[in-house]
Amino acid sequence: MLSIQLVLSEIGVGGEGDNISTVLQIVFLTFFIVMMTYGQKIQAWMMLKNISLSVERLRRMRDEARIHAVRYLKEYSDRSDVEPILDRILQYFWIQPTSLDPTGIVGKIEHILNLRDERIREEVAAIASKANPIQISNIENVIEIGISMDQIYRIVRHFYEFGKKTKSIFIVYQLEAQLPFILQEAEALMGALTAFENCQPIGDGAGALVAARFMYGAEKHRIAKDTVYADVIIDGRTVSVIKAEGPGGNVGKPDQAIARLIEEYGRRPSIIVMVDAALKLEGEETGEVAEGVGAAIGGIGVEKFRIEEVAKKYGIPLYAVVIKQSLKEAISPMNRKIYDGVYEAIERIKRIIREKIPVGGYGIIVGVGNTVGIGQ
Amino acid sequence: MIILLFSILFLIQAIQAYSFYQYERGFSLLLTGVVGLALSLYMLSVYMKRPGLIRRRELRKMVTVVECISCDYRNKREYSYGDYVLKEHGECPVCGKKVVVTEIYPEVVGKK
Repeated sequence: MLSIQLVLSEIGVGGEGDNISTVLQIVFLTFFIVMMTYGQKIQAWMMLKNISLSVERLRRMRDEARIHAVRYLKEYSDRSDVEPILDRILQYFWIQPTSLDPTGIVGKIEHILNLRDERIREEVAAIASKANPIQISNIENVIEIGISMDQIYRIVRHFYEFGKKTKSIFIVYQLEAQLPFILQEAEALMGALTAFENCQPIGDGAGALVAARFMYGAEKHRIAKDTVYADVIIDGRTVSVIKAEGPGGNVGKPDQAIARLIEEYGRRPSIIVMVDAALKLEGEETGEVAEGVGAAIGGIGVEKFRIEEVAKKYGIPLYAVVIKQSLKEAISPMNRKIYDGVYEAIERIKRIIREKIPVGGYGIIVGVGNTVGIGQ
Repeated sequence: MIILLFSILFLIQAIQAYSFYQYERGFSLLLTGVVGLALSLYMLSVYMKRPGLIRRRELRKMVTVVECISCDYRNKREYSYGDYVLKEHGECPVCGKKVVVTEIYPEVVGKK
């Protein structure tokens, strides 16, 4: 201890008023004043440094999605100008019709969305002349992922640059709070890329898989664009099962299929059962099955509106069976737990049919979802 | 990092104070140093978990399950391009009836 004291005394440390303590106190006080005055700006700067890593990651994912799309397109194309055309398609947007006069807005949205889908399909068919319809559907889905990734990157970069310009802690806070969800969605989209390229089923196809298993072995008929149905007998009841036509990446037009069966073909179902994937809450198990009422279908609401209109017009009960999964699982290759959920959903639907449709009666089952990797 | 540096300096100061029998000053410096060290290590651990840094990911391979429509025959194999669910896949080696692809899903085989 005495030797330590001697050494410390030699270098002017220890005792009353030693030099290093004074210097440290001044530095600490300066640091404190700086933090009080510029604390928020320093915090914003530190958060922006973290956000810049995520923006860079999103940029790499966007570029990777583009490379995938280019490579996939070139497999089915003889053209040399694939890249410029793809870059043009990746920035496609659609403008929502005005809601100043909401009457008829569903029809307007449907018209715009159909136009957008047709436009993309025409462009893809023009480039990928060697692709068959299944491959064209998959190419469309790969391009949609590219469009989504591009939009995500641009929006996040916009808020990052805006936060950097204004040094506003509130803008930066909001962006940082959203980033985990955004990155999760972006990673899930990248997982879906491989699934669509290889025509593998994704989690969102759970509803379509339920319908496919019901209709396996029966004669299928095309009833609407990219949509098929088959009549099957379940416990003495006739059931029309509707799903998008696979194994390409289609979602079909289940609303048009239901409307056609009821209004054109004159069928009068006792019930309509819709089965779809649903987002689970944190803490819930993947593959959990739940039942309810209503039109179990996602999207912007056009198909949902049409199905609800038909059900209401003819007084048809609308039952929903959902298979729970996370957003990431919904657009990633379908995992084992979701298959277990599919088998459970099949049993639940059979029970609903036995309870709600009399023997000899008629019902409709609609399997909703992207049917990539799922035949019928 | 700045707080970590200050914490270490405070701890050194605390040792110096104790060596010169300044127990009260030493104790306050020690307390400040320990609290600062804990806070800076916590912030460092939170920073290390930020996205964008290298993380271990699961390695997955896709598998295909085929089943016979008549008997209990079921086989799991590696996925091959062109497989899709409900694709007919030849004859059952047990009963000779149709074999159909029933599942295609990813299996975890390790981490990288």
